[in-house]
Amino acid sequence: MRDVIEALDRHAPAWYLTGSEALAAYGTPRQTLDTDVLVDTTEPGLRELGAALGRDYYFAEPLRFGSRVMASLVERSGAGKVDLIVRDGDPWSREAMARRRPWDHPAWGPAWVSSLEDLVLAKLEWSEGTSELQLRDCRMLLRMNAEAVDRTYLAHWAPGLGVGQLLRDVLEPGR
Amino acid sequence: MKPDPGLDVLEGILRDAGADERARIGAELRRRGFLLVWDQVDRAPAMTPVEEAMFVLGRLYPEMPEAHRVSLRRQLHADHDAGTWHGFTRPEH
Repeated sequence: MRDVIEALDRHAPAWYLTGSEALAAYGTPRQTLDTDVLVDTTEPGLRELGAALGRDYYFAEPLRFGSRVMASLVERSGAGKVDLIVRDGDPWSREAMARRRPWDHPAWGPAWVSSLEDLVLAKLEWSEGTSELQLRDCRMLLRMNAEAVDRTYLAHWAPGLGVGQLLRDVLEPGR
Repeated sequence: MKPDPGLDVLEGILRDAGADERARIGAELRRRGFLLVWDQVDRAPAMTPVEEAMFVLGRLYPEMPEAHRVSLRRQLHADHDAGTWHGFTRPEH
């Protein structure tokens, strides 16, 4: 993963770890086998990254899922996978990129990780109100970081993302 | 719903462990996940390197989009036929 991080630093203006790796940064780790990276780039930028890593990774071309574009890197040797997700152009996505946190990752060295609040908002979005796994993660993140979480920030962005009610649900004290 | 006191204890331990330790735990969970898949390879009928690789990718990443699966299969076949790729290396126990 270090080589991917170095390529991201060279070829993308900004990026951060999200998904399960970010989950471990703030809460209970999960046995998710791939690594998710949010990248401030374009589809051609993803291909440039793929080309830069072509010696050691297979590159699965960008695909569009609604407003989201995602490509994947798969290690030629050990089958590890990194999903590269293009940052959306909406105001919250820009803000989330600006609020990313530096993290000296124990295995990968200097990296960037989603802020706690933006991870919660992303998981609420991903859940589409139906993924109990994502909603459970949100409740866990909010419990484990009850004193640190910026509830004002969450309340500011959640309605615009269409997750205002979901946020209220996961902020309730019960499980 | 009534809070689970055991969950509170577990989350407290993990909170106190810190981000780095939690990342190490996550890495270990991932390593064990890979080992489980390779155990499945050992129990499966004999496969070519490309078939084995697709089996591994399918078990590791069941939600991988079909277009990515097709693309990777094509690249693996091409490299295998060219003699530049000979299969995924299994993780050490």
